Amino acid sequence: MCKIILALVTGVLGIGVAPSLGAHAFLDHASPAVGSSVPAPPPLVTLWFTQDLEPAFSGMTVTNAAGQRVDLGNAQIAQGSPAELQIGLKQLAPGTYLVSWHVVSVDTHPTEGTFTFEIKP
Amino acid sequence: MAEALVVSRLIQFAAAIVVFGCGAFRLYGLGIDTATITASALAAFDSWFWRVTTVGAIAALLSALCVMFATTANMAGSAAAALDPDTIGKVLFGTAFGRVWCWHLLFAALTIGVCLATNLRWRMPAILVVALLLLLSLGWVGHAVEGQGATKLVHEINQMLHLLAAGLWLGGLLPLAWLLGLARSNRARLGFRSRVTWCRASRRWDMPQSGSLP
Repeated sequence: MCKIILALVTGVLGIGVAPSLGAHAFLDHASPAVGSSVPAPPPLVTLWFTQDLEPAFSGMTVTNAAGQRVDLGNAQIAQGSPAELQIGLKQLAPGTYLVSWHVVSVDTHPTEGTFTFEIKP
Repeated sequence: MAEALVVSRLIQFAAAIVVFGCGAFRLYGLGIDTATITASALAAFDSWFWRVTTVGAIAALLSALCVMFATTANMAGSAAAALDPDTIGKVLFGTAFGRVWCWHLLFAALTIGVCLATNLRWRMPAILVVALLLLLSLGWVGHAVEGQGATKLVHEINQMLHLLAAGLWLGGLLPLAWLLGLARSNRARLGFRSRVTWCRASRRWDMPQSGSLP
């Protein structure tokens, strides 16, 4: 009986905590949201990922339609939230902006991506 | 670079499993019971054991260094970064992987040190301890660090248990194969008892079970 219970516990440990499919840090959601239209210029862009990030190898940039950077160059992991990446923005005019991010998760896998948002009063 | 990382990790895991498995086999498979094996046969095994363990420990250290370089390149997104001291330092001392890998490299170096310290009194217990640390520290990187809190801790414990099982089972196959080969050869004069030994894998425990029939 004890052996059966121990075997079941072992099985639960083996199956129940099997490595998740989200081994990379993928973008979970963002603010401004991906592809969204906002009425006022946001003070910063915040990205939430599916895994904790390595600060030394994670960053992002925000550029306008002309390809010029409009961020403050201060991309950083949010304090107390290791899966959250933020960057401050300059005062933005109405228009479409491109967010380009590249991150490395704590399991050493790099990922990158882009999305746009629009400021439309 | 991805291929280099894959090959390095394969060698790393194989070396750590063999180094620990051989040492564990020496303990649970042979021990010091002369009813199982005579002193001369044990000496022959020990000579083979320390040669294999030394080679395995060197392979573990070299492959661990390769993993460090390949991971640095992977994280930085550039093959050239693999040899950049600043980037390597950033990885080793500024990432979760690096902080664990520093310990792993230390354990690999200590394993080699014990192998070369032929006059060390507690050489066998020492090799078991450092080999166990070398093997289990592989469970503190990679997918094991995903998640947070209790989930992460259980995942890491799960990884270590799997590594322990692999070390005992797979790592023990090499010395077992050596013994079986020796038993069939003319060197049976070294004093193996005329017994039939059997071994099988337990379906439930992932560990080898062995015994002997007179």
